[in-house]
Amino acid sequence: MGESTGEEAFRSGLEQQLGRSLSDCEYAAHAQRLRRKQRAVERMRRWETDLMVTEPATLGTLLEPWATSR
Amino acid sequence: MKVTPFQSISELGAELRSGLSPTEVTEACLARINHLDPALNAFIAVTPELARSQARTAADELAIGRDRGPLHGVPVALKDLLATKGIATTFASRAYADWVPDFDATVVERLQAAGAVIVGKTNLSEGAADSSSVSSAFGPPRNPWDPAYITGGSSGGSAAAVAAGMAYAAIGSDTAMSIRQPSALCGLVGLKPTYGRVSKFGAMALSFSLDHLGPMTRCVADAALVLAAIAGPDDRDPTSAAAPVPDLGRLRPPSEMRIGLSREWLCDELDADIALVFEAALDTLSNAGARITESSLPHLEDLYHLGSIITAVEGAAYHNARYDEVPERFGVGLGALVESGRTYSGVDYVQAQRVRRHLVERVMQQLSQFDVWIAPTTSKLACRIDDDEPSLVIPRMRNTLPFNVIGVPAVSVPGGFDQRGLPVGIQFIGQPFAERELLGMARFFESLMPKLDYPDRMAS
Repeated sequence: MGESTGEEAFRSGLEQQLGRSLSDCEYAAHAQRLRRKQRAVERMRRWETDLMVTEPATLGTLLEPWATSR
Repeated sequence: MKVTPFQSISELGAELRSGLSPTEVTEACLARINHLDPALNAFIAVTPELARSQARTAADELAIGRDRGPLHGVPVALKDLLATKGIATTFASRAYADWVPDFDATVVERLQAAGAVIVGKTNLSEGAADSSSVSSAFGPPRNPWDPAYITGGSSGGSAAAVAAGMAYAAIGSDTAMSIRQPSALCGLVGLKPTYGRVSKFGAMALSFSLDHLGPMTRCVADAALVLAAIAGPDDRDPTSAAAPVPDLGRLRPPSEMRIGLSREWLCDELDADIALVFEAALDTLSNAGARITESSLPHLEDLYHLGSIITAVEGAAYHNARYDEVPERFGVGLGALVESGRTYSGVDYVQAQRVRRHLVERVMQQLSQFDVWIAPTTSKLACRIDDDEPSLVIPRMRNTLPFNVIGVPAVSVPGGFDQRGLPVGIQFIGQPFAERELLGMARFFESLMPKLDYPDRMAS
């Protein structure tokens, strides 16, 4: 019961965010993306403190992992 | 002379220089496509007129002693995200189905300059954005080993075309898994080269900083031949690397055959049959003299999550204007990618790229301890097409996406079969721009395995 209510709330929140109702198929695709986003951003944030001290990256190097070997 | 559909490119090349005509080989491939593709759906478009014209040219040139090299007269297929002059390039999407480029992608130009014959454009996931190819607007390609099962994705049609003997090689693209995972599920060799090794000019994008183009073939030597033809710098792609392309003609494993094995993350959630095949592969290599050392590749889980952020945002940026114009023409999965990507903040994206740089430096310190690392290509076996669902993308790409984020080369090689008789792949990961050593190790492993007996559905 609790799980179902949580899922319904999650779906409702997602539909509110997108501004439209979703079919089951659309919901499955969006829910999968949203859950991945939440996990990924949370995981990334763990590194932000490190970055402030050590990482002076510029856009020129961001997109080219092997820029230094070119 | 009789055409043998599953022979290697070098075996075919020897016959093409001993009297077999490129036109005979091309007609044989077109006949196989005609017969097999209604069931396999590997191709979005077949290009018989172009193929016949190129085959005639190849034959005429060989007749006067003009030999363009190993791919001369060899039928190949192109993932339908590569621009082809005068031929619709669809991205397997109704949103792009009407686009007819007036230019060829660099890899297409290079294949044609090498004498290859283009037999068609292959099916894929819509926008290269799912892991099974089931989302294609043209219907799913089917696995030649059992058509009830997925090919994997996103280069699923390329995999089916080569595994069914409808082409001798295909070009795929790989943002998270998309050359290696379908190659694993269809029993092929699939190489994701180093980021920048192969120009992406003219390739429709999923994620600019994670996309790679590479070959899908039935043996390692063929992958090397195709890579040699398409690799090298290109002024039209600012991310293409200036690094010289090594001689890929003679593949040998690194002399000490030291292989790193990191079980954390890469072996955490394997399907049971994949674990069995992987352990057997480790035993086979060890018994043949390879020195496999358990070590640790740190931060792969972090890299995996960074890859998810970067793909979503760069994918949304690529499709942004088109999605505003014709949202109804986007399938559910690709539409969700765009809408999800739009919800990340600019800070999220820049931080993801900064953390990426930071962690890649750390991982490389460990990765450089061994010439080659080994892992299962994917943690999930092929499922039936009817059982595919969006959440399966996560286990399917966990073993491959981190190496797109790092940018190092990686190749999937057939390693055995599951209990249903479907192929399982073994992944080797190499050093930046060291495709020669990587393919040398892959070739060594291939030489220890029984030769694959591809299912010839022409006979059934």
